[in-house]
Amino acid sequence: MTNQTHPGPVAAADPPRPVAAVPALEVPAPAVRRATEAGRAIHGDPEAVAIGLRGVGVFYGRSQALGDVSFDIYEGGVTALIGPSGCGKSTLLRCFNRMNDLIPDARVEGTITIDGVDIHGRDIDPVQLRRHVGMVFQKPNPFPMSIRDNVAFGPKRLGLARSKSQLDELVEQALRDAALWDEVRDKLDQPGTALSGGQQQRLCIARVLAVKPDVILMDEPCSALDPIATLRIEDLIRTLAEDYTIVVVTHNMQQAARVSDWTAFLLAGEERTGRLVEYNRTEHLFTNPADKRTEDYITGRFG
Amino acid sequence: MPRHDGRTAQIGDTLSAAQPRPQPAARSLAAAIRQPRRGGALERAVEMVIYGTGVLTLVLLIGILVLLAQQGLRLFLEFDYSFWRFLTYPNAITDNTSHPEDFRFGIIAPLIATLWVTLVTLVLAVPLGLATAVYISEIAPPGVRLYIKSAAELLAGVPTILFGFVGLFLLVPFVRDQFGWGAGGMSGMTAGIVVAFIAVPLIISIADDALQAVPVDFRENAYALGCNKLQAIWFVIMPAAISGLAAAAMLGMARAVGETMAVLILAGGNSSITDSPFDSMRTMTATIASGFGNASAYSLLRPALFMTGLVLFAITFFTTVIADAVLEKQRKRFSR
Repeated sequence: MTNQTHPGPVAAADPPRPVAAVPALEVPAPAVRRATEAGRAIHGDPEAVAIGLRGVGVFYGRSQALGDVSFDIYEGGVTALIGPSGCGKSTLLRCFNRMNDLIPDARVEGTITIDGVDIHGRDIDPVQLRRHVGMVFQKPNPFPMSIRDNVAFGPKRLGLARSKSQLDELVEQALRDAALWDEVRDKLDQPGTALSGGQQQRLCIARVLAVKPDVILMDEPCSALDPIATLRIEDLIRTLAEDYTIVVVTHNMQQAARVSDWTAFLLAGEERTGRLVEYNRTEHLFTNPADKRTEDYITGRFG
Repeated sequence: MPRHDGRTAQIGDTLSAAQPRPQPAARSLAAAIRQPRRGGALERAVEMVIYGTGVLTLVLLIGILVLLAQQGLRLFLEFDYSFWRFLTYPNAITDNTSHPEDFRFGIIAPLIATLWVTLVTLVLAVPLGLATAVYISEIAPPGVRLYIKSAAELLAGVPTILFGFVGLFLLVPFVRDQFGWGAGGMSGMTAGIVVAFIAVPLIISIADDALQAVPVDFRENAYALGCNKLQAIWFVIMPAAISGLAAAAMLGMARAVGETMAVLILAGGNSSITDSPFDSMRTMTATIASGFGNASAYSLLRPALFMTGLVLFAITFFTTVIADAVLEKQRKRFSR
């Protein structure tokens, strides 16, 4: 990816509050401390922009779901989009692989660049774009076919494998990368829908990995899972962050604190248009929020 | 929720000393639990009615079978008509006779005629119907979709004899002059084409419902994996809707097997065996419909027509059972 000049972490839309007035946080801070104490490297290189957003707004018909969002998502590592329901975080995520194109009256304004390329450019085919920007959805949704065929689905459609054995290798690698191989290696021909919820979600992640994307978008990937399965997915996200740029939408602040390197906080006002309130290193945003609204949200005063 | 004492429960009720309860809590709870079910009789009555309608379906099915068998088997038991002759005689002449020696009726000719018409119908109607359903469900803009779907549903309700008229006045002269099929343009092929147009609206309507019922997640996942529209339709959406699509095809087939009036006036009416769909022919339904008017109660024709009905019933019954079994297997493999 090209290195771009960028404005650095985008400041809040409102004037930042003095740091001294920020009270100690009780809820998410320990999670951050745990993560850093565990010696986890912080990813997300601010020198390399993966996704650049400038003045992004989304309209569904006449109502504006998202307005004037500008910030940079950095290459490698995990960026979390947090905010209460209806703040437009999923809408924003769906801009990155142009899934909003599928909604008949949706309109996206502003500029979104991926690796410096305007994804709404005239020469950009959304089908090709989605090949490189994979997406994991809220509800685990294996296709009604075998585990093997689920993972092989993308490579087959895109012609990534030239032979059966090559395809099998791809499937195995994707399942290994998704930390699912050991559990399913003996039952690859069973239906994907027979797996547990957490396994299904990892299968969906393997299905995305098999296409070999560069960016992985995750739309509340754990919201339908139990706590144990959630932790496994979170571990997986951290592991994948070594190799992929990951953007994850979550309404779970602890999760954002545990898995992400950077966090963007979005909020919809009276007019129900989501706007970016604050974007910073996760550790920083959770321990030292610049905006009162961020602070209120992460301390659980609303949302 | 109303409580045992008739008051609406409110937060703070139990803590408030100013509002003493009329009864100790434990006893009243027990009393409330022990209260007989309210509206139990009505509920049971409704259950019985619904149960009854379910049983009625079964009774009808068995009733039809018993009637057909009882009336049809008289041909062999009462009139001593040869079973072998019934199976193999290469014609189905609907003479009103009571002498087994004079009776020349075999099931094979109408059976083959029905198979020809059904084959032609399926070959034309299934691809056309499914393609249209895919178009209106997945590709067409919402306005176009609405028009085509409404038109299909209206067409599905048009009496088939009207399709027969249209076929008789438009298609029959055309194929007579252009291809010289059958008897003056009336042939199995002619009937099959018209029955295909009768079946297509039904197939469109049911297949479209099946496609619409595919969860939007499947579409999104397919697109998110880099599928284009055709790939998403062919590899994800249609397989996910397979049982509904198969049901649509099955109903189209049932329509073709069972269609009577249009086939009666369009297929030509030749009662002997045909080896090509371009010949004049008479299907099982048309044989029954045309023969029943002059089948007296004491002739062999009457039980012979009931036997034809029994064969017709068996064909539709077994195709449905087999199709159900296949679909069930499919569903079990990929159940969600």
